[in-house]
Amino acid sequence: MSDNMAETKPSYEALAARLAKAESYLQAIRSGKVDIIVGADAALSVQLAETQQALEKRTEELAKTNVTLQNEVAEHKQAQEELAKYRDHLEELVEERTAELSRTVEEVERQRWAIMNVLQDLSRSNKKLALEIEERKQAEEQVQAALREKEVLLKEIHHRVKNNMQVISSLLSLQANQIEDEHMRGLFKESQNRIRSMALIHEKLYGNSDLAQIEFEDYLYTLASNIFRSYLKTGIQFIIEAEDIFLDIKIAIPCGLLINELISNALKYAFPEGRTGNIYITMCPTDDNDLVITVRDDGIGFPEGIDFRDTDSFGLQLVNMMAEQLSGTIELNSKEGTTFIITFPVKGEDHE
Amino acid sequence: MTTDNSNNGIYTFTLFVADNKPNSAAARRNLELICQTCFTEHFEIIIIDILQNFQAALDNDILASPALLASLPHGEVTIIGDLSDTQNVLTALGVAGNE
Repeated sequence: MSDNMAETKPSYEALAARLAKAESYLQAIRSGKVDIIVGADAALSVQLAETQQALEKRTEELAKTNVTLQNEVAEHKQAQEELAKYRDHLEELVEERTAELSRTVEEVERQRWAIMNVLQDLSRSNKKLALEIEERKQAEEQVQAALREKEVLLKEIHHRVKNNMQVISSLLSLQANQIEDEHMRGLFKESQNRIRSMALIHEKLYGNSDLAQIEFEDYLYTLASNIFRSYLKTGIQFIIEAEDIFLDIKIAIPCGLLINELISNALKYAFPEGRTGNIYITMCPTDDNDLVITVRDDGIGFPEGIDFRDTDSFGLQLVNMMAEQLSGTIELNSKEGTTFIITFPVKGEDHE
Repeated sequence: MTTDNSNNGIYTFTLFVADNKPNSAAARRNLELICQTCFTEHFEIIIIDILQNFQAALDNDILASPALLASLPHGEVTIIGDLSDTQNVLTALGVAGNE
């Protein structure tokens, strides 16, 4: 099908061919069998079908996505509503809790204040107490100091009393040395012994840690030794039993004087002409709070016909006086020597 | 036509493609298949990528790709598309009747 006259005028056949060609192009394009359309100055990518398919696919996907999204949105909404509900509830709860907390905090604060107040009170009273304790301590120290002072003074007094008595005793002794009459000298010696028996009480007191009471056994040993020394008798011994006897000065002085007289009497009269023997001095308490003094000798015995309550003997008179002063009783037993038993109460310490 | 064919020598198939896009690739495969089955000899295939050689498309008055410009003994035929309709292609190439 060659056309020689194509130069001048396109033939009908040529036009038809071109039309057919165009048709075939269109058809190919429509049916998606073409990749590229050639434009005036560039190649245009044609992917209509593809694009359409893609679009449809995409649309479908989008629709699906849409449904999913709608579902999700609905779910979200629901969730949000629930959340809102929860939130409201939570807010209520939080409010409640907050109120509760603030109440608790207030309560705690109140209690803290109360505790602080109590603590302050406590510390105040503590301080007061500490002050009081300090004051009491000082007062006690003062009292102790005063007491010590008093004790010292008391000792001093006992000491001086004893010294004065010693002086009296020495004076008597000096004066006795100038007396030639033996009987008179004996009287002086007796007086001297009496004074020494009292001085000894004071001496024991100031030498003692206890200024109120005298341990009497110790006192009796010293007393008896002194008396024995002053009479210079041989072959006579004394035995003392006075365990745990403590006497205060008001009782100790009359007791001392009384025993002094009884020992002296025994030494003077019970063992004449070199007779030997023993003098027993015992002191023991009874169950009735009485004290029993026994002065016994195994000498010749008390002479019959003499009433010891009514004699000229100054010594025995003194014994009676002292027993009276002690509100005590005297008993005399003359069997196998002489035994004087003096019983007196010790409970009431107020003997005049 | 057979006489023409023998006289003129060979068929020349110029396939305008666009890179390796789906239709272009299909067209190439289909052309080769057709050539192998129907034109055991006397043919030449020229592939022109119009994305590489745009001017060639303009020069040959090609408006879209893939497009096969077949130079036959009796003239030129342009077939647009991926050449998947083998029967039509063969008809257009004037081969169908011969078989």
